[in-house]
Amino acid sequence: MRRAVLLEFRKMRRLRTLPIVLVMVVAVAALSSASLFAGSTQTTFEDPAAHPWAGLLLSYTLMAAMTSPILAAVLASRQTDIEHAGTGWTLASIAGFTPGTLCRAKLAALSGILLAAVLIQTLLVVGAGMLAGIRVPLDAGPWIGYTLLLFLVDVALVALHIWLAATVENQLISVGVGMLGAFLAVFTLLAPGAAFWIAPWGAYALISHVAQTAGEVGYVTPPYPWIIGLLALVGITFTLATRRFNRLER
Amino acid sequence: MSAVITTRGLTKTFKSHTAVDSLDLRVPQGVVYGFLGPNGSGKSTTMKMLLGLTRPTRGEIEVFGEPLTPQSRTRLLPSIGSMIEAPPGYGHLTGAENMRIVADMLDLSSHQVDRALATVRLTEHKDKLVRNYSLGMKQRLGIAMALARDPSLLILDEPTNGLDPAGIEEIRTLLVQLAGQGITVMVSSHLLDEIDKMADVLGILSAGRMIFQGTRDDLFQHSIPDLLIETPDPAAALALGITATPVTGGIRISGTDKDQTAEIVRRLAVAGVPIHEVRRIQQSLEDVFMDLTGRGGLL
Repeated sequence: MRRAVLLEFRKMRRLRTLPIVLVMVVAVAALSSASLFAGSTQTTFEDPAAHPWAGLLLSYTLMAAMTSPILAAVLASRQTDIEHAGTGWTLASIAGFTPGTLCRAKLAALSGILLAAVLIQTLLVVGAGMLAGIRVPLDAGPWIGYTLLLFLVDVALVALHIWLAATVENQLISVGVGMLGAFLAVFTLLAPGAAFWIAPWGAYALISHVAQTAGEVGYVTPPYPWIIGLLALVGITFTLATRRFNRLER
Repeated sequence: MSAVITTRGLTKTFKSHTAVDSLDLRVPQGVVYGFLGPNGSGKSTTMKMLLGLTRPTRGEIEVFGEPLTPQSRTRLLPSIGSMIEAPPGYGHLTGAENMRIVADMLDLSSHQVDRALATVRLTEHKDKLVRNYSLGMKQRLGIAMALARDPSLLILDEPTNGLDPAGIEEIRTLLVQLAGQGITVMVSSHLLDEIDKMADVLGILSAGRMIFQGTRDDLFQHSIPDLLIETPDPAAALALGITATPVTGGIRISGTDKDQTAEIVRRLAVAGVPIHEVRRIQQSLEDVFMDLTGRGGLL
C-alpha cells in the first residue's frame, strides 16, 4: 500500500494538484477574513462578549462549506481520470495492484495534501484575525475541533468522489456533483434542520462550532455522534465499494 | 515442444452472450503465436482471462505449467509482459516518467527500464510528454512497459493497431527478434497479413470458438482447394449432374476430396467429355483463412 501511495504522488506531477489547492486555500482564507476589515466588525475586536473569534469562525465555516465540496471533487476527479485516460487500471492490475488498492492509495495521497491544506487555511484565517487586530484571546478549542472535523469531512467527500470518478468515466459528472454539493452545503448552513437529510454535504453544517441566534454569534457543540456515524458510514461504504472494484471486469 | 499456455474448455459468458466458447489453447514455448480472429471474436477476452483480469465462466488455464489462480497469479505476473486493448501511458507524464512508475510498481532497476526503451527505440523520445506521442510511439512505449520486467511470456493484444506499414513492419521485426531471444510471444490481430509474416503457430478464433490451431502448413492442409477441370465442353460436363460452376475454359468444383475427384474424372471420361487438364486452384493463406472464418469481417 505504501508503494501505491508513493506512486500516486508521482502521478500528481503536472496535474497541477498543488497549485489548485494553494489557490483554494488562499481564496478561502481571503474570503473568510474579508469582513475583518469592515469598520463595524473592528469595533468588536476588544470586546470578549462580542465573540470576535466566533464571528470569524462562522465566516470561515461558510466559506469552507462553499468551496470544500468543489475542491474535493476536482482533486478526486483529476487524480482518478488519469487511470481512465491512460489505461492505468489495466496497467496496475497486471502489475498486481488492484483497482481497489489504487482508489485507496489515491485517497491516502490526497488526504495528506488536504491535511496540510486545511491546517494552512486555518492558520491563515487565524493569522488574518490577529493581523486585523483582534485583541481577545483565541478560543483554541472550537478552532482546533472545527479544523480537525473539516479535514475529516473533506477526506470523506474525496473518498466519495474517487468512487464516483472511478465508476463514471465522464468527469463532468463528478465535478458537477461537487458544485451541487457546494450549494447544498451552504444551504444546510442557512437551514440547519436540513443538514441531516442532505448527507454528506450537510456534514459541513453539522461540524460547525458556531451558530448565530437572534443576531448573536456564539459557540455550540456539534452533534458528535451524528458526525462520527456519518464518517463511519462513508468509511464502510468506501471500503466495500473499493473491494467491489476488485471484482469488476473492465 | 512444451507449452507455456494451455487452456481446457475455457469459456466466458456475459449474461446471454458467450464471448469465448470451450477454448483449448496451446501456446508452445519460444514461438510467436498469432492469435487471429475478426473483431468481436473473443481474442481480447481470452487474453484478459490468461492474465487474470477477467474470470472464466468455465474451464482451466495453465501458465508455465501452473494452474492460474489468484494466488499463483501474483507469482506468475512478474514473468508475463502484456499490453491489452490500448497501449497504457499517462499522457501528462513523459515516457521516462511512465517507465519509472512501472519500475516502481515492479521493483525494476533503471538498467531494465533503459534497456526496454532502447529495445523499442524510444530512448531519444523518452523525455517527451506521452500525450504528444504518435500512435506508433505509444504502442512502442506500451511494449517497453511489457518488456521492462524481462518477461518469459509476452501477451500483446493488437500491438499494430492503427500503425502505418512502416510501423507494422518495425513491431513485427521486434517481435520476431524477441522470440529469437527465447521469449514466447502471443500476439493477436484481426489482420491476417500482419500475423502471417511473423507467426510460427496460428490460432484462429471465430465467434468465440477455436476453428484452427497449428502451423501455416497445417492451415493449408486444413482447407481443400477448389478443383478446376479444363474442358472445351463445360455444358456437357454440367449435363451429367455434377455440381460445379462454369468458368472460362472449364468448370470449377468446390469441396471435393481425392476419391470424389477420381469419380468425377471417371464419369466425364465415360461420357466422352474431353478433359484437357485437372488441377487444384492455388490458394492464398487469406483464402484459406476466409473459408475457415466464413468471411466474418476479416480484412
